[in-house]
Amino acid sequence: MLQSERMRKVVITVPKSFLDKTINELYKLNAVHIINHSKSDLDIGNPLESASKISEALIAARSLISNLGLAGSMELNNGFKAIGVKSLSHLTKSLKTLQNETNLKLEKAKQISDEISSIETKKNILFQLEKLGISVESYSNYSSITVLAGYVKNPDLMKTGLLKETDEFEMHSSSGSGFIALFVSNSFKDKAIEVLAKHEFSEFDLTPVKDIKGKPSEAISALLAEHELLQKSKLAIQKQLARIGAKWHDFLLLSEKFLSIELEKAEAPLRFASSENIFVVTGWVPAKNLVKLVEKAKKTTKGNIEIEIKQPAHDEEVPVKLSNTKLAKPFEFLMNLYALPKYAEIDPTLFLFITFPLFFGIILGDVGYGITVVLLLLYLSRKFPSAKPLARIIMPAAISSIFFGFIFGEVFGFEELFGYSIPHLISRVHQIQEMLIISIAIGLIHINLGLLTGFINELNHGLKKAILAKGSWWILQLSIGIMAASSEGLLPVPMYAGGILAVVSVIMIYLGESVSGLTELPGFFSNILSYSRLMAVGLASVGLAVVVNGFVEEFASAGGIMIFVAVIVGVIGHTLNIALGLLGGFLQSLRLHYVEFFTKFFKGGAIPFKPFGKITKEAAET
Amino acid sequence: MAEAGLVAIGAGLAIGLTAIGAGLAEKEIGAAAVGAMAEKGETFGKGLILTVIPETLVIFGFVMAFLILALAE
Repeated sequence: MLQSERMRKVVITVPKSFLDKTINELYKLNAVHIINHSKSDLDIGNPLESASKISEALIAARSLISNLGLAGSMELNNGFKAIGVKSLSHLTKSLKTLQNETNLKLEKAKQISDEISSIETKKNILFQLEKLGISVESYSNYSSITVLAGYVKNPDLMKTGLLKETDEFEMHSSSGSGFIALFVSNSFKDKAIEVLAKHEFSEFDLTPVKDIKGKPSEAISALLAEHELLQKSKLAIQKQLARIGAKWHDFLLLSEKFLSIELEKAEAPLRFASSENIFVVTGWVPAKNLVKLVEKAKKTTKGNIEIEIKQPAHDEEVPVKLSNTKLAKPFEFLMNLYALPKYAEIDPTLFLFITFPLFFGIILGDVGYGITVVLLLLYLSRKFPSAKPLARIIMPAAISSIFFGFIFGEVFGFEELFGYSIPHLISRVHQIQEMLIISIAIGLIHINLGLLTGFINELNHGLKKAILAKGSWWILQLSIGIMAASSEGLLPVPMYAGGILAVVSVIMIYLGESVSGLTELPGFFSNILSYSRLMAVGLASVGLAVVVNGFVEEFASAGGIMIFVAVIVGVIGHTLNIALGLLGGFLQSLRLHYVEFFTKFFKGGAIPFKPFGKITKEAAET
Repeated sequence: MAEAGLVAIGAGLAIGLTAIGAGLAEKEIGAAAVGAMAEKGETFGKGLILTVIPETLVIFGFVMAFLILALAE
């Protein structure tokens, strides 16, 4: 609970003849986090012979899936049987046949698409030429004349400009669009281009239509007919492809999954150490799975196996798998968001499970809001299963909201309903001072819990280190308590006694945590004061609710249509306030853990435990 | 009565000015933190911590506001 899953290091040595079987067994067990072997005196292993064939088939399956636009994921239960093939070569053959079939169709579809786009280009050109009214063939096949077609800013101005140079040309223009066709003698071509450039000429390429004859309008209608035919055949091919996709959907997705798994297995030897006759797998196993691993491995290899089991060494990088009770498990999400605790550290998920809802409840303590959030969460987790992990975190928080709603005697910001005041233990609207003191007291307890956790963590480095690094903060707090008490005359001790103690504690902090500890000194007090947000953010939330209720009462007392307005204002106002309260409660509470609490003990940064094996749904989530 | 008004203004300034200060500081840190997160999602925890560090200012302002209000009583 307070510790992550205990791990053991295993070194498994097996003869090469059992390589396939051992890999299969390890994969099925899904319990060994393999440490990749880096080349040393022992070489890394070679992938299984089947690897290249598998990856070839996998590429075929993946390209088919993407070409046919398939999507989704399927559960794979029993290998080849589920796919409906007998062997890998059978599967490869089926995939190849399917690939050839679809490739032909895809090529055809592409060819048609190309033709369609070429027709569209031609059509666009012809639409322009239609404005000039000359037959299409007259634009090409000249030996002594150059044809220049395109847009200029002002055709008339351009023509006058060109006339100054030569009159050996003929120009057709369409009024309005600025489209011109200029037929000019080859000898004046350069001159003409010069003049055109001055008039912002942008040339229009006529080569696509050089084989078309007759009037532009006739050519256009011929093209349109062709276009329609091509569209039809394109649609037909697309339909055929969709039919293939629908028919082979399951087969392809299952094959892809199956082949990915097989490829991972086939490439596993790359992570092992290997010699001529044996291979060695090094990895981490949860201690509770150890017996099963040994038993299964022995059975698979008929006893031809050597398993060495070691305790994790002090400075070893052990992969971490959090292990919490069912209720606290969702809160591992918040740990993953921050960092995984190191193997030797205390896993604070259980603290989060208790104090996170507590803080959330104090901030958003309102029976009405709490019930609304609970109902909302029930609806959301039924409607969107992907929201479930988050809902499982907020649900205890919302229940705690209801609980604190009763303590504060608040329902939707009201402290009284129908003239009766709601019973309460403390009113956070009217007893602000008390709430402030309670908040800071909670902070003091929470931070000291953090220090205690840190103390236990530091015990790994010895008692002296733990006392210097963490115990010193308790002495500091004690010294401040003594100073405060003696200045109030509550203790028969002079104030400087507390002062001396304070100096001692600061020296201890320096010895324990060096300079970084000293820089935390002012932070320590602001950390404790920071918990006053429990009261402040909550007060702001109540304040907003009271304002909304004030509006509602004002409108409702006006009567008539205004009652309707009052309802709308009330619903919108409280919805907004709940949204703000959820966000505020969640973030502020999370922050108190991440910033104030965790910094007292948490180091984190472990690598997550990733066993070699089937990726189950649960593992994929985390 | 006039004095009570001044006390209220003082309390308001204590919290308002510290909030502006914290906002100015958090603006820059937040932008950088979001940038880091876009590059590397795992930095969320660190980013959040760094972003909220200046919030302490408001907390101090808040406490001061209460001490000032206590003067009025």
